[in-house]
Amino acid sequence: MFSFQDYAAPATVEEALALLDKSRKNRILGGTAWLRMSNLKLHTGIDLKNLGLNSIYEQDGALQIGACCTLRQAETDPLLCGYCGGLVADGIFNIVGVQFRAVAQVGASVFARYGFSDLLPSLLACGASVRLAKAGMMPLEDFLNRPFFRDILLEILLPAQNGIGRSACLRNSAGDFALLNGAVYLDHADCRIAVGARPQCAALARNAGEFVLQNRGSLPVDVLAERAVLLASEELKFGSNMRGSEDYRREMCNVLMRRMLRPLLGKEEGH
Amino acid sequence: MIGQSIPKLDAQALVTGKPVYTDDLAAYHHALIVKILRSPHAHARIRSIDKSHAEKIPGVACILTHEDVPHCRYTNSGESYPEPCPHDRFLLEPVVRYVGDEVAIVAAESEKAAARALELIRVDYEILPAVLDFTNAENNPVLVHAPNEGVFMPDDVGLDCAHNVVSRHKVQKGDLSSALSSSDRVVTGEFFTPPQSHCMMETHRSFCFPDEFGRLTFWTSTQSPFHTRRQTAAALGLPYNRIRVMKPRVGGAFGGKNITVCEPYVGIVTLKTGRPAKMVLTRKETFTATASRHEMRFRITLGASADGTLKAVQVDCLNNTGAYGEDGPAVTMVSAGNMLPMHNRTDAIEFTGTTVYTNLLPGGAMRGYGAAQSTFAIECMMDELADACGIDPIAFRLKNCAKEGDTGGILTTPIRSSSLLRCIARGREMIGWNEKYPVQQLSETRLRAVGMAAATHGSGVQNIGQAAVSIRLEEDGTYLMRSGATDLGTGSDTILTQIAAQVLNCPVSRINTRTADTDGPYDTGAFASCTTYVTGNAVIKAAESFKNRLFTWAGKRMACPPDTLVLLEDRVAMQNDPSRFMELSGIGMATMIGDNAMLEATETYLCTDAPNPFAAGFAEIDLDLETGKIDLHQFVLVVDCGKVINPALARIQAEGGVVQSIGYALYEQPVRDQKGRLITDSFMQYKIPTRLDVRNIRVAFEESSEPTGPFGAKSLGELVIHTPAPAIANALFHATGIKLHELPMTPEKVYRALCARGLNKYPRRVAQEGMH
Repeated sequence: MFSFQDYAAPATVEEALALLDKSRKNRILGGTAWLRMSNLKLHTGIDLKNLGLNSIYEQDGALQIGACCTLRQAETDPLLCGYCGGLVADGIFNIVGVQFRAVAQVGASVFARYGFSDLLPSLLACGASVRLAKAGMMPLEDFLNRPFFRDILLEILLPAQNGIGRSACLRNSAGDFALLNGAVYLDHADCRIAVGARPQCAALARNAGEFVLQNRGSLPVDVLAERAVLLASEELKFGSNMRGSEDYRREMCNVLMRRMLRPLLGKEEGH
Repeated sequence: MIGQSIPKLDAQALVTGKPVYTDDLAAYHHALIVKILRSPHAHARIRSIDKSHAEKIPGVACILTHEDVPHCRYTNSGESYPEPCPHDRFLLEPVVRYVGDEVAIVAAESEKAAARALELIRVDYEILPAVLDFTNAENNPVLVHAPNEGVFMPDDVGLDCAHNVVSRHKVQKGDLSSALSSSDRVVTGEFFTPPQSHCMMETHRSFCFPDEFGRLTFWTSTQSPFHTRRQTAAALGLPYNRIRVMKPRVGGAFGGKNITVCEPYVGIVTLKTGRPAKMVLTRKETFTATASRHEMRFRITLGASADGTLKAVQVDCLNNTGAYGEDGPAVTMVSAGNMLPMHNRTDAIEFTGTTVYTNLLPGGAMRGYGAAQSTFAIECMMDELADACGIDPIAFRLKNCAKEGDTGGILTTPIRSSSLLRCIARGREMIGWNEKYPVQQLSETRLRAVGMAAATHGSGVQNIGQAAVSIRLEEDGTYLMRSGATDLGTGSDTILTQIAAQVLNCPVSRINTRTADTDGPYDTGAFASCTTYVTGNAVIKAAESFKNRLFTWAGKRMACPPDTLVLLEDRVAMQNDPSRFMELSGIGMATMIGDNAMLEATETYLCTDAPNPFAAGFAEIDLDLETGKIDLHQFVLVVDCGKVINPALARIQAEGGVVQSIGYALYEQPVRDQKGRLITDSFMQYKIPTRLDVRNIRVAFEESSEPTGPFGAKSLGELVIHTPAPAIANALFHATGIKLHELPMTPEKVYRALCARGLNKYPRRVAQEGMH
């Protein structure tokens, strides 16, 4: 169990940043679900509850998700449920259980870049961006590729688009971490395929996405799906851990991605 | 009363959060917090311990190392007396034998101070090579316990420290080699069953204080107060009568609290400081430093004639008992004793078992106690043998299983009651076996299949299980019943009260039941599925004895022979003339005053038979051919526990056992690192099934009547954990021909097996060919 000596709930982002910069032993408190599994001894725990980051709203078709929204909020929000076929909400409801999701916050899952995050693949597939207090706005993919830096995640932005997406996961048991997860988004101009829990953090399979865009219409849907996912499982790196081996993950990447992509392509073709 | 689903007598207190558990009771005292410094090494010698910095932490009351404590050999197992366990422990010693082994005891005024002190104790270890693979333990040059250092077993069953062997066991009947050579079909298999954690809701904890007479008094979360007292007395070098142990409400145990894990440590602190002390293990400590189900390997050969008659059963068992022997020898014996009776009709049986030491977490009692492991292995083999004979697996079992009336062979108790045939028939119907066997194709990538298993167990420990019960008439004509039985959340206090109420012909509200106090009547405790059968019989004996005394007393005053009297709810009356009666309240008052003897009876029941309960379990699984994931669609369990005393409580027992076995079969995978440390030390990593995993569990009872049982009852508690794992494995076998002989059956393992049989539906090659 972690501990901290001081608790602060600053009224402004600037105050929060100042506290964060003051010491490496100061840390943002999200839902603290993951922090509790550690033995960290912190100095100041910084609660963002007064910064108004706990709502989801729409602006010109784009969705803004505050970093302090709980997973349960995100899962049940009507705007998010209606966005791109419910792609984001779809990835969340497998996480542990309702009580847990009522506590864990969206911002933590993204900022901490958890490998097991069931949220990151859907967000990547959406083409999401993140807004940070110091570093400003950037595409989520760029954020995940940057080396870790101290900052405060304020919002996640989902672009206005009207395609359809799906997410999927493989778990050894209900309520466990995924041993592999992923999401696929498709519209007339874009195809994004994201794979997570590799066990590494979610990443986009760019070659696979490109392949779909270039070849749809010219290849039968079955073959298009098969080859695209094969590309995805070959361009991404996988690894072994307690929940699964590298080989199994790679082979399951084929299965999961195909199960998502094939129906999406088929829908497009009117099959 | 019997057969009524009476709500647990403590139900209200439990669900309204009354302070009735160990840690609640400790809250009334200003107890020192006791924490243990544990070894990070699987095998090491302690060169020195420097506690000087730790002792300076404000609030630290004492820090004890092996230099500060009594040096008395003991065993921590509560399994019956005399103990079939090696006495191979010291409270603390300069050798540590597994990651988690106790090194030092810290007692402080607060959690914080105790935790800080732990961090400041400096230990200089000489790391030793460790035995981490139980298949290499016997004859390994590295010894877990040195011979000639005083390790002994009261009843030696092959203890040989020089070879890391704790016991050897053999059961035999007939001529195995001729039975095998005359068999038309022979199947062989090797099985590995992993350790399993109990995952009881309330972790291990104990609270000790000196009473007004200076006796060490414990409130402790234990399964056996009397054994706890004995082991604690041995560890501390104290006489029994300086220790009192009481068990309050307990939040589950499943065998995990049949060990004296905390008591000696809080006891020694109270002895040294004169102050109350409590120790509450964290979940991590419960996982890594108490005990888990014995890991085992089975090598089985079965032979049958072409018509499916079982002729030969050969089982070799290797049992990993870890760093300390505890229950190892008994578990090896029970893996034979509570599994082989099912197959007693065969011509020849040979069971050989070896229990070995390793530098790993000790094996301990866990629901099923060896029979859960051996039943898994043999029930998988039975299906494979049936298949080799070309016979339906149910028909194979009906033909060969033990039946009511069987006696002799390897049976130590004749089978005087069995409804197993009805259990199998009923389960078959409930699951829809005829329509579903062996497998249906749900889609291109999903199969649905059924599998089954049959199991038995025992009721109590033959010639060892013992219970004493006292029943007394109170001044107001109600009853006080005292026993040593240990309700672990199982509801046994309620069941025993029901049994007494039946004999005393009154509602349960007229009986106060007090249990599990070493100042009360003796009881071996809650294990080996004995409470209903053994203590239940003691209740009946005591109640009948009480009635005799009552009728003798009342008969004198009513001027009629005792055998003309009957006991009604609130009075003693003449059977043929109810107008002649004496009220119990009047009798109660009268017997508390003057020369009259108080009306109380104490009787002891020794379990001379351990009758077999039976069960048939049926699993229906869905299998995803592309991922290897097994989803349990439904499970049906039909149980013969003799007479069902309380159907609601019996059902809960059955459902719980089924869920634990489903976890064992599919999800629970303990993982150790290269240095022998258990890394699945939390619920985050060690996955027990959720409601989403187990879905539909259906339980039914087919009553039989056991002549030696209380109102015909046998046992239930452990039997119910035997069938799901093999039934699921058998369903997989019927679906695919896969013989998965290792638990748990994770998606990856099943997937590999599917690939090996070419059943995996995703053809990589096809896609690759089209690529370039």
